[in-house]
Amino acid sequence: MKNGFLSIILHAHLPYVRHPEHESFFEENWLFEAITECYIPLISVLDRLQNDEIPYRLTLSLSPPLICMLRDELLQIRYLKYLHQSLELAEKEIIRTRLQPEFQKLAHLYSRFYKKTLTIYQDQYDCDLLIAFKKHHTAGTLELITCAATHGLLPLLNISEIAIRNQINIGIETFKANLGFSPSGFWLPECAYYPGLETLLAEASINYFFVDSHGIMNASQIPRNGVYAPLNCGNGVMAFARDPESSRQVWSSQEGYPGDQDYREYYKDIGFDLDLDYIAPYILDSDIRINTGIKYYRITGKDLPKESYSPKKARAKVQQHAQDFINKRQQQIIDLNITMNRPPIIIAPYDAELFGHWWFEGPQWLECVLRLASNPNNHIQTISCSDYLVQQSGHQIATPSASTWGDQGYFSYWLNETNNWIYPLLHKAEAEMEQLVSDFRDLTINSLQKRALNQAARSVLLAQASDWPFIMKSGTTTEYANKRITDHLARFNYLHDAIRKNNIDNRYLTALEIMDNIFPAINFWDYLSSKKNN
Amino acid sequence: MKLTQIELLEISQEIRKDYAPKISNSTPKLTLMPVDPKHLYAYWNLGKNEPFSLQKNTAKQLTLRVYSASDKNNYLGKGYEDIPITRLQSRQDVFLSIATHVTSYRASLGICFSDNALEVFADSNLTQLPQEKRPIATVKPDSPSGLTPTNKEIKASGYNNRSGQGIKGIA
Repeated sequence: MKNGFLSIILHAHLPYVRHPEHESFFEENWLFEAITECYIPLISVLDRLQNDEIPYRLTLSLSPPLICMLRDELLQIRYLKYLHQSLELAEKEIIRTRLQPEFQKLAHLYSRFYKKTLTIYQDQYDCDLLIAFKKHHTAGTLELITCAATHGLLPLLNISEIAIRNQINIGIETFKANLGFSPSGFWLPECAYYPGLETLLAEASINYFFVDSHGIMNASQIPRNGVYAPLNCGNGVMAFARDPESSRQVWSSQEGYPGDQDYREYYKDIGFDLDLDYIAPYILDSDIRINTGIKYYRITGKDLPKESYSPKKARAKVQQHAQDFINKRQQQIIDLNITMNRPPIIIAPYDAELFGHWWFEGPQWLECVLRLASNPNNHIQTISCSDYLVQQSGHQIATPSASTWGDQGYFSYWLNETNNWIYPLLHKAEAEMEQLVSDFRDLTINSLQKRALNQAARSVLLAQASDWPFIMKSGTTTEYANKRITDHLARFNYLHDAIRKNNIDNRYLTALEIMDNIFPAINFWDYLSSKKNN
Repeated sequence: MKLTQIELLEISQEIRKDYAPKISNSTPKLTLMPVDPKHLYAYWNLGKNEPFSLQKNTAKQLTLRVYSASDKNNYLGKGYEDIPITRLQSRQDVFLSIATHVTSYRASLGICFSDNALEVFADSNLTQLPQEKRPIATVKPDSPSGLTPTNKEIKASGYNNRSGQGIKGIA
C-alpha cells in the first residue's frame, strides 16, 4: 500500500517565433535550443525508462504555440540547419582543444551529444517530436495536457469573456488536432487564476488545473488538507496546488539543486569566451556574441575562478540530489499522513525548459527521481492528476483565490510601468474583433472575407501572449517583444480596416497568412457572443 | 500565390508603418484591472471630444472614484475612495489603503464638486482583486548563487521563462 503520491508536471512553452520573411532569425534559436537541450533529452529519458520497463507517471503540458512550432515544416528545416552547425562547431572544438585534454574530452561529449540529437530528431522521430510524446502517452506513462491558445494571462484579458473562452477553446482544439485526443487537464498560463475561470474550463470539458500554493491556501474556505489535496471548485473542476517545499528545492538560490558547484555553468559559453575571428561563423551576424551551447566550466562557486566541468562529478551529484528529493518527499508524506484523511498528493510543477537548458543535468535528475520513486520500498507513487481523481473522491468544495506563480504571486510582473501600455491596445483589438464578427452575423461572407476574418483572429491571439509583457519586465529582449506586440496589432488594424472597407488585398492577406500561420483551423465565428451555427 | 522573403518583409514593414496601434478615443471608457490584493490599475479615455462640463469647469478636479462593488455605499466608511487625476493622465495605479476583505471593485471617472458629487464621464468594468495571502511558506523567485549573469549575457541568453522563478537570470 502506497502512502502518498508525487505528481511531477512539466510545462513546455515557448512563444510563437517564426519569421519566414527572413533568411534566418535569431529568436528562432529559442526553439532550437529548447529542442536540443530540453525536449530531446526529455524524450531520451522517457525512452530509457520505457526500455527498462520502469513504472512511472509524469505529466507534460504542451502549449499550443509550441505544438504548432514543433509541427512547422519551415522550423523543422531550420532546426536541422542549426543542429548541423552546432555539430560542426563541436567538431572544430575537438581540434582546437587538442592541447587541453580536459576541454577536448568535453568537446567530444558535445559532438556525441549533437550526433545523438540528430539521430533522434531526424531518424527516430522524422523531425516530429509530437510523435515521441504521443508514443509515451499511449504507453500510459506520460499524461499530456495543454494550455491557453497563445499563453495569454487570462486574468488580465478578462475584460472580455469571449477572449478567455477563445484562449481556452482554441488551445484545446489545437491540442486535439495535433495529438488526436482531448486533454483532461489544463495548464493556466503562469498558473494565473481568477474565481469564475472554472466555469469556462468546465464548458471545455477540463477536469483539473493548477494554481500556486496561496491560490489554495487563500481559498473561500480554509483547505482542510492544505495544498496536498485538490479543491473542487464547486462545479466538479479540480484545482491542484503547487507544493512549496518541492518547488523550493529546485528553484531556490539557497537550497536549489541547479546552483550546485558541480553542475555546468550556463553563463560561461565559448560564444563569449573565444576569439571573435574563430567563433564568428557561429554567432549572430558574425559579430554579436551569443550562446553556442558549448560550455566547459562548472559553477564552481561564487566569486571563485571557474573550474572545468566534470560530467562524472555532476552525475554523482545528480544521484545525490535525486535521492535527497525522494527522501524529503517521503518525510513529507509521513508527516502529512498523521493529519490527513486521505493519501497526500504532492504537486511538483516546473517549466520544462529548466531541465536541460538552464539546468544541464536536469533531465538526468528527473530520470533518477522517477527511477527511485518506482522502487516499491520508497512508499511514493508517481501519479497524474487524472489518475488521482479516479482513485480519490469526495474533495472539499471551495473556490481558489486569484493568484499566479510569478514574482509576488499576483499579476504585477505582467502589469507594471514597463508593460502597462499594451493593455488598452489589447483590449481594444479584442473588442473590435468581436464587434466586427458581430456586424457580419447576418451577412453573406465570401472566401476572401472569411480568410481575412480568420487572420484577424490570429493576430489578436498572437498579440495576447503573456511572453511579451514578461520580456518587457525582465528586460531581456524588450525590443523584440515591443515589435511583436505592435506588429500583431498593426496586422489586426490592417485587416480590420480592409474588411470594414471591403478592400481586402489578396496579396497582403496571403503574406500575413504565410507569416502568422498558427491555428490553421481557426474559426472567426468563435468571436461571436452567441456562436453562429455555420 | 507565392511570395518571396523580400515581398513578405516589405508587406510586414508597410503594415507596421501605416497601421501602428493607437489608443482608442472614440467613446469615453474606463477600465480597471487587478494587480495584487491592494493594488488596482486603471486606464481610460474621455472620448474624441472632451466632455463639455469638463471644458466648462476647468478649475474642478478630475477624479477617479473607486467603490467596493459589493457595497457601493459603504467602502471605507464614506462610500468610496477618491483619487485626484491630472487632466493629461490616461492611466493610474490605485493603491488601496484598507478594506482587505473587499475583493470586487468598480470605479467612475468624473469631476468632483464641492459637495463631493461626481459628474461621471465613464464607469468602469467590475474587477476582482486577489485575497491577501494567509501566512504559509512561499517560494520566492531568485537566482542560484554563481549564476548571476551580466546584462550582456542576459541579452544573449535568449528566452527567459515565464514563471518569474529562479535561475532564469532575471537581473
